Amino acid sequence: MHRTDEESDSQEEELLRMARTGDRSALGALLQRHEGTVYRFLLSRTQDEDKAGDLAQETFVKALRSLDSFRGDSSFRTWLLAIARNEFRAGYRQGLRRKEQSLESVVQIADDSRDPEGDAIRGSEVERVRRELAELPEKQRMSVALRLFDGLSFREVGEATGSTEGAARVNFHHGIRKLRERLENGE
Amino acid sequence: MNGHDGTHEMREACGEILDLLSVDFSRSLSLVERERTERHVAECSACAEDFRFMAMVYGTRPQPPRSFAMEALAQYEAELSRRPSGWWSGSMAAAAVLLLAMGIGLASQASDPSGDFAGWTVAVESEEGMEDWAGDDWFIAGAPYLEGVSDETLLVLLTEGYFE
Repeated sequence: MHRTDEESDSQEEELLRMARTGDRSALGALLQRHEGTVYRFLLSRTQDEDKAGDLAQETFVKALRSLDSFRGDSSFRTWLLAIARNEFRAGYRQGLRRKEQSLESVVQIADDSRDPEGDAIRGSEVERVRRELAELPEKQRMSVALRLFDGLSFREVGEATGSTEGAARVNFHHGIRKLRERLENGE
Repeated sequence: MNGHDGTHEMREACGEILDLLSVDFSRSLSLVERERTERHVAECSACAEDFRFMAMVYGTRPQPPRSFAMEALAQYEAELSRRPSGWWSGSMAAAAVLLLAMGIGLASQASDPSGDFAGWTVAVESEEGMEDWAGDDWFIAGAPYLEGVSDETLLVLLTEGYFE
């Protein structure tokens, strides 16, 4: 059964309300709800599993410290992604540099047995898709990841990538088309 | 996307449908939207093909190797447990100032038999906090054995009656 945006929003509001009272399980549930999105966003930016993990954890700590300052002007997910974006920039300033992902690290990610969905597809296929996705221009890559993997609206994608809603939509469709061409041409 | 070469109306619909299909995997579609996409995909082979491709890509979605959210929560809770509460820290500061005043008073009486400093107490809290609370090089601030001792440790010593 597919949940609607309204149902999802109301669940989130309730979790937020409980989290603000210090309810530990609500805090955990609220963060875990967006854990994958934040991690994939940072992975898409850093192209590095370890750095993405470190930055994701720091993002959540910052969010917990400033939960009271969240006013609900944007969605909680957008707010988290804004923190993640700042964390990435801060990390970049401190010397974190995007590095080209080597074939070995791609294989390592593809073979990761902690990824049950990835396991459903042959490792070599996963490896190819991820390698080609990593080769897309940054905004196309991030738009594809945020939209396809996490179902963000184009407005949210735009906010997370520093683009307009329209540009986010174009980046997504260009990215998907380019990815498909690259995968088909490589066969 | 390639292959959407039907009528103009169909191509326009394809664009909207592809937008919807791209969030179908994260279960973000309403029932109405889902029924609409299913009807369209049943009639449009190009959209059906695009949908299969996006589903294949979705299948490669990376997962966090461990729960960073729960680790962050544990880290945050550890921070909170180390941080004194507002009431406690306020009380501690007040107690520290009081004990310091008492300690200085007692010490001055003990080291000043003439009584020039009898009843003399100093308790200065500067804008920078408790760092300059002894004010000068006399007694606590000047005692060699207390050099390098943190304010936090001094607070503990004071509350344990070390200077009484």
